[in-house]
Amino acid sequence: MHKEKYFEKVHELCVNASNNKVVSTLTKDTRRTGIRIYNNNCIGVAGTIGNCKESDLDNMAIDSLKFKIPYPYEISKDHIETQTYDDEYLVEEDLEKEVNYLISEFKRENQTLNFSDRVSIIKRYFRLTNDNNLDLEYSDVLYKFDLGFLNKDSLGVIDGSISYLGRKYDRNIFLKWGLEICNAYMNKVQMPRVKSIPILFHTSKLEPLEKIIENLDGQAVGTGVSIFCDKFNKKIFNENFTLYHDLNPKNGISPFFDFEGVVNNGYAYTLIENGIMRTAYTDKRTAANYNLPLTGNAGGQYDDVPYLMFIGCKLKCSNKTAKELLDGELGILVIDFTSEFNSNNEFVGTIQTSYLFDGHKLIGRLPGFIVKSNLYKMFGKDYIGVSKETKMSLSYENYLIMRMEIAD
Amino acid sequence: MFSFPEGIYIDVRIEEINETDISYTQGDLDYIKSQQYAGAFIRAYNGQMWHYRSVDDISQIQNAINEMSIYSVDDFDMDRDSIVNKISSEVSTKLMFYNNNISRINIEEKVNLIKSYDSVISNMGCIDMWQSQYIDRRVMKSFYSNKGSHIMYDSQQAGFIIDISLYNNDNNFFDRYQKGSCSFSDLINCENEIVNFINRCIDYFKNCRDIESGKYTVVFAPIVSGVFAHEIFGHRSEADWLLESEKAKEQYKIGMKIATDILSIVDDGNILGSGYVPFDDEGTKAAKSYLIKNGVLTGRLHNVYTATCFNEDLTGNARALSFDFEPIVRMTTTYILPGDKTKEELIGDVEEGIYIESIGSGSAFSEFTLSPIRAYKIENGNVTYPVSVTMISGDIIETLNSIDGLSNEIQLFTLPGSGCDKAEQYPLPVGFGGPFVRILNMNIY
Repeated sequence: MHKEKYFEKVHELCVNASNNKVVSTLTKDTRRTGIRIYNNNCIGVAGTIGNCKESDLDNMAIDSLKFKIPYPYEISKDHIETQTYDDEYLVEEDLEKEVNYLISEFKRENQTLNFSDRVSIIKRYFRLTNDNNLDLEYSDVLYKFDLGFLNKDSLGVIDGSISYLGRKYDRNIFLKWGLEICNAYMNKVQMPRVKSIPILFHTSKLEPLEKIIENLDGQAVGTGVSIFCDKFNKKIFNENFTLYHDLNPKNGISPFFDFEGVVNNGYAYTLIENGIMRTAYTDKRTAANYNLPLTGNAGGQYDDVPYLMFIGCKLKCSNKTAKELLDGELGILVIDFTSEFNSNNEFVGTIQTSYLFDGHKLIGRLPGFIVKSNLYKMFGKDYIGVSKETKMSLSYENYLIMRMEIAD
Repeated sequence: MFSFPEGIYIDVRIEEINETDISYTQGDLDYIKSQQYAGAFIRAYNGQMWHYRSVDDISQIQNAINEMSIYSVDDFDMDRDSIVNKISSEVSTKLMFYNNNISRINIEEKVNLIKSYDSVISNMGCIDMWQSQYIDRRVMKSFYSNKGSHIMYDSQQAGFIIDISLYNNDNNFFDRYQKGSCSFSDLINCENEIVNFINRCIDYFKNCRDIESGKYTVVFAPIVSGVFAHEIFGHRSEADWLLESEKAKEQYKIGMKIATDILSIVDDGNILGSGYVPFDDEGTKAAKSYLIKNGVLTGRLHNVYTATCFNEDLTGNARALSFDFEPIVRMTTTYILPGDKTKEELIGDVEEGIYIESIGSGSAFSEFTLSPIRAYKIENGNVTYPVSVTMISGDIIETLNSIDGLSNEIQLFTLPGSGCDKAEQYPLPVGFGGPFVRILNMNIY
C-alpha cells in the first residue's frame, strides 16, 4: 500500500473597481488537501477543504478502495524538488491605492472610458508528496489585472480590457501598455479592404488551437476518433509550427509537475515538431492503455483521481518580432472573440474587439467582423509564426500570427 | 448566533455542501467521488466601501467578523444609509428537499444508474468514444445579518452527462446528452432518450452536408431558445453593466419597445431546477421578473447596489458561485414565454431555412453568437437533411425584432454540465428554456 498527499494553499487579495473607483476588497484563504491510497492496482481518494485531521482522510481514502477504481500504474518516485517564485513587486497594503492610481491615470487621458473589474495578488503553494520518496513543492506570487473598460457611449457589455497575469509588476511598464490600449481603442479606424489579412492572437488564447488540442488527446488518439490518428510522424503543418506541453515555470505560471508527480526532462515534452505530429499528450492511464509515451498531462482537483488534461500549452517562438513576421504588412490583433471549428475542420471567428496593428504599435480600433479559415490552412500555408517578444515585457504571452480570410 | 460590531453593516453566508461525482469512460470506472465541506463568506459595509472575507473553516466566522470591525466608521448611520436601507431583512426557513435529500441516496444506487447508461451505449456498439458521468450537489445555505436576517434554505440538483465522439475520414463529431433534476427519481428509465439521442447523432454525422453562408430563417429547438434568451437578453438585463454607460441606459430604458410584440422573457428564482434561488446571496427573496413583456422592456435584474442606483425594486439576483466569491448580478431561471403556434406550423411556414436542434455555446458582446452542434435544412416546410453550421450571429436589437413565431409549449432545462460565466465566477448553475422560436434573416456561417 502506498500513500500520496496533495496540498494546496491559496491566499488572495482582490480589489474590485466599478465605475472608475475601488468599491470593495476581498480576502480569501483556502486550503485543499487530497489523500490517495494505492493498493492492489487500485486507487482510493479522499479530500477536504479547510482544516482536516489527516488520519481521518487516510481512513476515508482507504475505505474508498472498495470502489475498485483501477490504477495499475507505478506511482512517481525518487524526486525531491522545490521551486519558489515569490518576489513581491507590490504589497497587499498598497494594492487598493495602486488600482485607484492606475484608473485615474487611464481616465485622465481617456475621459469617456469607464473602468471596472478586479486586480488581485495571489499567493499560491502546491505540494505533492508520497511514501515513494516523492516531494514536489512549488510556490509563487501572481499579479492578475482585469481592468475592463466601457465607453460612455457604448451599447456593449464590455468594450475592451487591460488584462495581465504574471509574476512581475512594474507600474510604469503596465501604465504605458494600458494607455496604448486605451488610446488605440479611442481611435476608430476602417477595416482594410483586403480579402485576407494576418490575424494576431495572444498565445494565452487557446481557441485557435482548440481543434489540435482536442485531437492530440491520448484518449481520442487511442480510441481512433482523433483526426490525427493516421498522421503521426507525418508533416501536416507548417515547418515553423512547434507545440510543447511545457511546465517550465520560467515559461509560464504552472507548477513544474503534473497531478501524478511527473516531471519531464527540461519540464517540457514536444507534441508537434516543425509541423510533424510527434505524439499525443497522455497521463499514466492513457499512456498505458494505448501504448503511448507518457507526457505528464495529468490534472484534476485536489481530491480527484488524476485524469488526462491539456496543461502547459506552449508554442515555439520564432527569432523574429511581430513586426518582422508581418514583414511590412498591417495585421489585426484580436482581443475579444468567439470562435468555433466545425466537424469538417473549418474555423469561424466572430471578432468583437480588435486593433489594427503594425506589429509594434496599436494603430486603432476596428469594427466587428468575421474571419474564416481551415485547420490545415491556418497552421499550414497561412501560418506566419509566433513572435519572439511578449505583449509587454512583464508578460508570458507572445503573438500567434496566421493569415485568415475576412468573411463578407 | 454571531456577535456583530457596531458602526458597520455585516452579513454572513454559510454554505454546507454535499457532492457526488462518478465517471465511466467506455465501460471503465474513472472515479467515484463523494465529498462534504463547508465555508463562509462575510461582507461588511461602512457607507463607503464593501469589504469581503471568505473562510474555509466555519469555526473561524466569528474571528473574521471581529476582524471586520477595523472597517467600522464612527459617523456611519446604518439606518440612514440608502444601501443598507435597501437590504432585505428576512427571517425564513425553507427546506424543500428535507424528505428528498439527494445526499442520503446510497452511492451504489448512483453508481448503478450511470453504469447502466454506460452499458446502453456500449451495447449499441456504434460509438467510437464515450464518457458517462453522474453528478449531484446539495447545498444548505444559512444567511445572517446585523439587520436581523436569519435565513436557511436548501437546494439540490442531480444529473447525468453522456459525451459521445464519432470519427469518419478526417472529420470528427462531438455532442453531449444531459439531463438534470432536483429529484433523483427523474433520472431513472432514460434509456430510450439516450438511444434516440445517439441515433440522431449518428444520422447527423453520416448525412451532414455543407451549406452556403448567408441569411436564413431559423427555427430554434427549446434548448437552443433557452441559451438564446440567456445570451441575447439575459445578460443585457443585468443592471450592473448599465451603470457604466449612459448610452446603454438610454437605449435600455424601462418602457422602451425593444422587440417584436410576441416576445416576453422572464427570470424567476422560484422555479425548481438549477436556477432555484429562493433567497439570493444578499438575503433577498426571489422574484418573478418580466424582462420583456410583449416586446416592451419591463424590468432588469438587480443586486442591492444596482437597485439603489436605479431606484428600483430588488429582484433576488445577487448570486455568488460559492463561498469564496462575492455576490454579483446573475440570472436564475431565464426563459421565453410561449406563443400561439405549434412546432409544425412554425416549420411548415418556412420555404427555406435552418432548424437548430442542439448547441455548444453562446456569447453576447456587441453582437450575440451561438455555436450549433446539430442543424438541419428546412425545405418547403419540412426538415429534410443535416447541415453543417459553425456559427450563428446577429445584432441584438435587430434579432429581437426579427422573431416572428413562437410555439405554444415551453420546456425548461436543468443541465448538470453547463453554467453561466461572468467575472471569473464559472460555472454558475442557471436554468433556461423556452418554446420553439422562429427568427428571420439570421447570419449563418
